[in-house]
Amino acid sequence: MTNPVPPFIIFILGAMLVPILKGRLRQLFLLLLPVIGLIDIINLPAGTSWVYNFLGFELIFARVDKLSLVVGYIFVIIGFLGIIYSLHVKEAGQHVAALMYVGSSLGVVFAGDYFTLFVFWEIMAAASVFLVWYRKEKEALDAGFRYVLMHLFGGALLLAGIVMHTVWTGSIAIRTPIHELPFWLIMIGFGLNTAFLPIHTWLPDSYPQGTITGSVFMCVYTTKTGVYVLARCFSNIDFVAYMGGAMAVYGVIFALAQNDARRLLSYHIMSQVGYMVAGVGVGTALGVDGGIAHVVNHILYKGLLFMCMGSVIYVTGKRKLTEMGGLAKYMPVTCVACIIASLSISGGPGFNGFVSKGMVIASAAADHKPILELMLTLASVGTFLSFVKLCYFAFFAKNEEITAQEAPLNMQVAMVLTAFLCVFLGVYPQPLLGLLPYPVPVDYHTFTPGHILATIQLFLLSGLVFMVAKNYFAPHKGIVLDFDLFYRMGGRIILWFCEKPLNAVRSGVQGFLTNEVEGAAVLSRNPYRAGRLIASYFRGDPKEKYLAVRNEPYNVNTYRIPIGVSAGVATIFLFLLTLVYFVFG
Amino acid sequence: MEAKLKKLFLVVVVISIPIGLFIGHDHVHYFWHKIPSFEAIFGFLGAILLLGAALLLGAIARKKEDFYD
Amino acid sequence: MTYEHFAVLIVIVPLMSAFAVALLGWFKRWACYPLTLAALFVSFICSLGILNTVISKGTIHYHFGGWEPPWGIEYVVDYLNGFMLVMLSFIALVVAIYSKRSIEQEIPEKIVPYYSIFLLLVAGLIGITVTGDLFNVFVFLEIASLAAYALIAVGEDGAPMAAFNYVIMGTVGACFYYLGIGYVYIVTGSLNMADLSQLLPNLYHNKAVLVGFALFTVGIAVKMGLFPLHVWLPDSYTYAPSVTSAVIAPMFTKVMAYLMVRIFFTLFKPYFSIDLIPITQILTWVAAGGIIAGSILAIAQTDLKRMLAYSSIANIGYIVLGIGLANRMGLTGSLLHILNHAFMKGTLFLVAGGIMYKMGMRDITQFRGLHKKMPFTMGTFTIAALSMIGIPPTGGFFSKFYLVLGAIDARQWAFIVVLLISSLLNAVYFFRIIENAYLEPPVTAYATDGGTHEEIKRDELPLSMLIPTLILAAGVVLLGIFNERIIAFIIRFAVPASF
Repeated sequence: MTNPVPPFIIFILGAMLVPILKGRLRQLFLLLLPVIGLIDIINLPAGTSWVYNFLGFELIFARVDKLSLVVGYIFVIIGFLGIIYSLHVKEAGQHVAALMYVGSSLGVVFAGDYFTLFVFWEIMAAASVFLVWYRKEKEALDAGFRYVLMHLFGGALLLAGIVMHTVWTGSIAIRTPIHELPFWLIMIGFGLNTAFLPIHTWLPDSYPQGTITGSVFMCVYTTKTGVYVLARCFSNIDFVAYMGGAMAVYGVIFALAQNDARRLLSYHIMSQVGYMVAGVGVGTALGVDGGIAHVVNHILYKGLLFMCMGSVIYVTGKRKLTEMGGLAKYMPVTCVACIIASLSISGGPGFNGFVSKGMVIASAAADHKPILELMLTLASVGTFLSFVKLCYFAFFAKNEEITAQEAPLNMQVAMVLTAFLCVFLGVYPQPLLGLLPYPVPVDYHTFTPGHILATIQLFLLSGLVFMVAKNYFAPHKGIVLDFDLFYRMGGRIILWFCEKPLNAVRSGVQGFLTNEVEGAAVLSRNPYRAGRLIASYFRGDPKEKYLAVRNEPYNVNTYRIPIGVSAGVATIFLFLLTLVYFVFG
Repeated sequence: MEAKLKKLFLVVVVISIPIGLFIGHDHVHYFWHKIPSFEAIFGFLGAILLLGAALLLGAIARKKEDFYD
Repeated sequence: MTYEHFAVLIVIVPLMSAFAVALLGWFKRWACYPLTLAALFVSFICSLGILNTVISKGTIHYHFGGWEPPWGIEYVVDYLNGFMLVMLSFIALVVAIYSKRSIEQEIPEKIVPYYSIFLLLVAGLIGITVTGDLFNVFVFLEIASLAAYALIAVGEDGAPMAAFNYVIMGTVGACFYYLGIGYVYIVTGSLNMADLSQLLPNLYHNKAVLVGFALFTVGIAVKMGLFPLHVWLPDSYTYAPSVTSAVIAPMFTKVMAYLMVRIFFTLFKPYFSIDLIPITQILTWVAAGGIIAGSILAIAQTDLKRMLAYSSIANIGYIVLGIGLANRMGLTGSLLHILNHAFMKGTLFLVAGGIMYKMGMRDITQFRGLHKKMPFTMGTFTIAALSMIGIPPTGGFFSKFYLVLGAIDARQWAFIVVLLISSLLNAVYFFRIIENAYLEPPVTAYATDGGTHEEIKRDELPLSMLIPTLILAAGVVLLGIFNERIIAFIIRFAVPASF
């Protein structure tokens, strides 16, 4: 068995081969790639390998430890599930983009130095934007541009921080920056990908606009890669922990107000990532474990949620909750999968979310952060509420006009598999716990009766509120403004400024300069008449006379000086020089 | 049928609260962990709070769909 | 193989071949061209040998006829004229290769005398460069001048008048030079440069010597085309046959510049020319005036060769500016510019000749679409133009760069401004031509059928004309790329050591 390559190579090379293959062969190839990828990761030797020297720095392409392995595994697994889900897509470009995206994410995960990380980071941004653009509607194209701009901005901050860090410490190995400025720059750069408040707006802006299959990929990789790098470098930092809490609560509040189904899911991504970020920020063994476990679980159930909503959109063409309803009888598989996913994301016992959420919340409590614990619990309430809202209004509310059928087979298969994993890991979390970076503390038990009861009580009472105030929860048409108000309006103001005032300045300067240059051109055409021209101008000659002088063509013979004059000049020159020499000599 | 389900649900809710008196909270760190059925109260209040926040948000910040165009 | 005779062979061969060509051509017309080429080729080989000897063994002193100086005539070759010899013979050879087709088209009935006088011109110029005797310089100067007058006079309408004007001014210049020799000879009794440089320091305050020096200055300035004594230059370059312009423009004025350097810094000690009498200061201002005037007037021209003539005036200004700055950097720039400008102007005039050959006209406004018709020619023109403007990595950039360094060294900021402005002005007139040739769509003068464009066919120059042009253009680029080597190995030693 040859030396296992860093997994990104498999996916990126695979991406390039996709356009060549056609039809069934391509589908087979697509399914095979993640399998090969998984085998590859399993066989990667622990520690760092694939190290290259570049300009005196060490580039590390394969840094393998428990943290990177667990994230690598789940990335490949969800990649596999996503590919099943998207098998029906005929456009090669979408597959290429998705594979590049997966590959570059793996590149970031296994990178051991900042250069490699940054390069793959940027490739991720570039590849993922195509998953938005491939929907080819105007709003998708616009959203894609905003996505690119935000990510390039984040990338620039990241690069600035990396460069400073490298210059000031002399090494490019990935670790927490020591100096203050790179610390904040790199953290914000990473944080943009994890949707820190208030630079999160790209997420709810672009994820709903992606292609149906593309969004399944998108919801996974960018944010979780961000969590991974935060776990590497920025764990055990209070700012990060509380930011996570804020994200969790902010996300659910906004989610509750949404109408577009996928936008609701996107705000939930922000909320759940808040959990992960909080866990990482707390930094204890339990916290980081909880955060990473939540990464794995969230990938599974959020992927499943996007798959479900994607199926609904695919079959009915409707994206807004106000237009959905009563789909349970038409799309039973999707409905059940969605319910499973909703229970998972809410953290119901018996589903995978229960395990990881419990770990994160407990870690916050154990680390003397009561406010954080309460925030996260509140977010759990909100999560449950919004998913009751989602499921109810999508599948159970009364809706006479709608008809639908079940989703295509490959999508169903993907959804069933993913739902199965959610349940499996919920009931039997040991495999997951075994992969986590730190050994789980002895005094933490997953399935305590107290915890189970607490969660059930949470659900029941909040469900009660929902039932009572159902109409208040109903979706309304319209969009809810977020922080992107500032960027978008600000952008428009800047644009207006450039168009009107700046343009006026430019025209003025240009006009002035053009006149000057024209004058110089006129002079240069016939320098000899410059004197006459100026004299004519100042004498106030009638226009025709002036123009006649000005437009006079340059005739060589007009300006001939008799050669004798020249000889005379030479003699005078001689005389003057001799005088000079006599004076000085 | 619908009404029956609702009644059943209410019963379950009501029962679940006293059970909390028997099954305590593990990892008592803060004062609220000592209150039995804390999650029930928190769930109830929290849901109302979040609902209110979402409605408020909708009132302030909800605009027509083509606001940015 | 006695290398020492190279110094004299380099002059004798072309000189004798001039007569041979005249004789032989009387019988067989076709024999002129090969004989000329052979003679110039021998000259070129000699020049390479000479340079080699100078680098390896030091200054060559060749005593003509075995007579000892200062009574005998001595040929002295050091670094300064060593590289000039190579440059002169090479350009002469290249232009001669080029000349066949052009001469046959422009002056078919005077081929034999043309080649003969051509060889005389080259012999004269090389002679000026190689000799170490003042009066010998004058002899060769007259040979070259008379040859030049004749070569110019056989041109088109206006050429005889131009040649006549040149005769007048040239003779004035040469006579001034001659008088200068006279004054110096009366006081010192010697004509040998090396000898004089030892005798003169005691006499630096002698009025006769001073007058002689003034006469030298003005005489050389006239022959060089230094503003404001340049008036003969534009007409002569314009109306002369293409080959004549191509051979005189790169060579004649440069040789005069060389002569100026010799007289200022070898004959008279540098401190005389710089500190004692501020001639170098005066020269810088005169040169600056020439640069600006030449560039401005060049923009006004519509005739290509006339424009190049004014451009030459400006470039002579550069060279004299470098001499005038009188520091190591400035003089290096000046010498490098002599080398570069010879190649650049040579290329440009060869292109002008080629355009004349193919299109029969030189009007810039008619150059539209020329790049389709003669792509290689316009390509070489562009390369040479870029070099004239001063764009790296062509040679022109580096010589201007050294001139700027020299100006900085001498704390004369005004000249930096002058140099930069002139580069800009150069850009104006060269890009005008390039734009016309490359960008403007061709206008058919006789479109009577609704104005459809005539398809421009490729009608490139014949190889015997194209290859020399390409060689010179390549030289321009190579001089730029290898300028450091050239400076380190040759020019560094050509600059007087006291700088």
